[in-house]
Amino acid sequence: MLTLIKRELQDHAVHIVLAALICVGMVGQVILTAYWGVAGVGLGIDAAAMVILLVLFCMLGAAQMYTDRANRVSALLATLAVTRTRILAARVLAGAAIILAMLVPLLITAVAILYVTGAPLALYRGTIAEVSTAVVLTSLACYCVGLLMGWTTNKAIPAVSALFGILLIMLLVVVKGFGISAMVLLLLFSIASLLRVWYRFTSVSL
Amino acid sequence: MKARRYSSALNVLATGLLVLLVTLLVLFWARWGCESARHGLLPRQAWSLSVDASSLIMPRTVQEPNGIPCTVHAEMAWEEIDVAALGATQYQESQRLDAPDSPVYAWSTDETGVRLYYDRSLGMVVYSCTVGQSKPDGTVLLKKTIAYAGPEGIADRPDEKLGRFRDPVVRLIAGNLDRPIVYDRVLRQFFAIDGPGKAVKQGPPWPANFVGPVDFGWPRKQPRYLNLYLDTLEPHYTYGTDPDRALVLDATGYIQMLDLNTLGYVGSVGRLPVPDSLFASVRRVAPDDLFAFEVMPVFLGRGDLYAGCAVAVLSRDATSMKLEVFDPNGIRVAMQQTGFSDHVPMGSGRSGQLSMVRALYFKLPGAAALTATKFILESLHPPVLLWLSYFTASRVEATAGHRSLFVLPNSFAAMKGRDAESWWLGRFVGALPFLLPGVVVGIVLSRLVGRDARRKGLPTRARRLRMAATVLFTLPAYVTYQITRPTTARVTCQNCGRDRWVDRETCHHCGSPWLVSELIPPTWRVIGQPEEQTCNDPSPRPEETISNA
Repeated sequence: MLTLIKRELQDHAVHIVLAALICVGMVGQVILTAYWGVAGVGLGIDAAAMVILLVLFCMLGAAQMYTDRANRVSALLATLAVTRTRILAARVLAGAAIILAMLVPLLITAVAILYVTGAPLALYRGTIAEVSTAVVLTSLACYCVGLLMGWTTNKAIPAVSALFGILLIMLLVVVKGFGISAMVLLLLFSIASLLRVWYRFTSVSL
Repeated sequence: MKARRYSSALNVLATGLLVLLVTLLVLFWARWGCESARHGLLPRQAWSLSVDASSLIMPRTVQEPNGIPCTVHAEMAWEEIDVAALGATQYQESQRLDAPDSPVYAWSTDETGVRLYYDRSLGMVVYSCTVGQSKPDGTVLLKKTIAYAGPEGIADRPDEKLGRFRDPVVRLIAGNLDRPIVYDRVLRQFFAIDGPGKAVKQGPPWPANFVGPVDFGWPRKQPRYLNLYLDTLEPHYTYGTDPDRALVLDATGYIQMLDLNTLGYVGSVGRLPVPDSLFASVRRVAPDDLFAFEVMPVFLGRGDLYAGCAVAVLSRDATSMKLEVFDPNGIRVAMQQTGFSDHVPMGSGRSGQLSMVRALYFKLPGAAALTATKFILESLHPPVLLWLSYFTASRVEATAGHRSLFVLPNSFAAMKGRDAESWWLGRFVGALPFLLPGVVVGIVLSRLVGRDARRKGLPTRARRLRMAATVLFTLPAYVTYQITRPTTARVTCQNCGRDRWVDRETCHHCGSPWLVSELIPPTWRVIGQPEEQTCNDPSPRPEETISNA
């Protein structure tokens, strides 16, 4: 399993580097905003960067499935002692690890800044937990949309449908906010997407 | 084969859930656009109310026998109301320091360091500040003090003897940080925390025959979107809060007076007014039934005299507003609700005074088209959820209803479900025109699914399940069927000769398995006369050939 995960990370190093660059930029921007105290502009930049990051996570999922389908990676791997379910599990674990690796430093920076500036942590403790959970689940949902749309040899259809999927997920967050109901819906969306991906991946001929 | 069947069922369920979520989201934004357009129909003037309360709130004097000029105004921020109803905005509002449920009541970042907040883990209200102490050598020593307050007392460090607040509502009456007032929803009791005196005063239990308070002091909901203020020449008055008295709003919408010295109930001073609605309205409203409200008490002098209170409310679907003024005895003395003045166009050149809600739904230019669109969109909503909306019409909090994806508390069916004028059967029959179109759509789509499923050869049980799901969920179930219906190739059945699925154990027509039993010729024969021994072999027998030679 570890070998499969490692191979996934190596194959999609470009996406990881791009996402890391955006995250480093966001961390730097958060620190500068706290230093200069221009919260409104800072939040706007962060929101825009977050949207780009979500698109990137979706592209990562789509790239994983598209590369497999186009280059028949699973067809080759299936000749070895590994099942299709394990191949998919390794792929999803790699994606989830990348998402967490990108978002956790951002969370740590935000908490550190709140602590340093003496903000009321009694109030923001719940907010930080809710917002960060919702952001992680939104990222996961976008990644799942990518997985769902990427299993094709056509390039145009997954691109358009993935953008539509990302838009819907963001609109879901706008409708429900960052509360528990949004988290439940995002989790349900991710689980349902993963189940459908798993069914298609394990039932289709390679 | 069984595992494959389960994974296939799982796939159908997962696809159904995805399609349901996407459909509900698309329908939600279509409805939201429709409601935004409806709010946009009204001119700005229609969203403010004014009541002349000169002789009602303000006392008559010799100089002013008709009372001092006084007007109560209520204004709604109608440009922001649609965005305000969305979950992201609501979440942002709920995280503000001055939000009603915020656990932080004061937080200063200057050198005084005054902080007052509720520590959930301790169950105590914590007060801390930095105090300067002058030393004999002239220097000032900054000392940080901290106090923990529970229902049983106050101390410098947390102690179990102080007890725990379970579900407190804390208000700083008249901004008094030294004496925060606490109401515990679990203990049903008011407390006053006396910081300088290091004491906690317990009030008597809230009367058992009353429902519990939801807010007190200056009860408000969504204050950013509904603004209530007083315009008067009287210089000696205060409004909102008073050090000795506070208004308490309970869960049924009654407004009570609380004596802040004894922390005891004094009497009822008013109630939330019922705003206009599309169908016959309910007789009374609770705080949860309103999108926004504000209760503003008015005191004369230095709080010596309670003059009355003004109450403004905004209806559940934010289409009508009502303003009422109550005298000190709780009797309604003035009222106004949103309506149309003569200058408001009503289409085809007519004008006149109308109920705002009726005009918004039918009379204003474009209103009827928006109402028809709303009706169509609600008919496309899964009927099971629409019926649920009818039966749970009053149980969903008003602001939550604006961001609800599944049940629709602001649908026509739910509005009819809240109609208190007719008895339950009449109400149900009245709601049928809004409930049945969805069912009809479901039945039509279900027949399509059933026909196609029969042609595709789905097992009877699976076919019935899909048809039932289509009746209940209509469009999402139909789309799910189209996505997940079987597309496997078929071959000729060796038993019945018709097409059968290659991935099924048995033929869906005749039920025969793949291994059809071998054809064995029957042992019986039809015997009419002895069979003739015929020899069709043209070649001569070998013996004969030999003998002739």
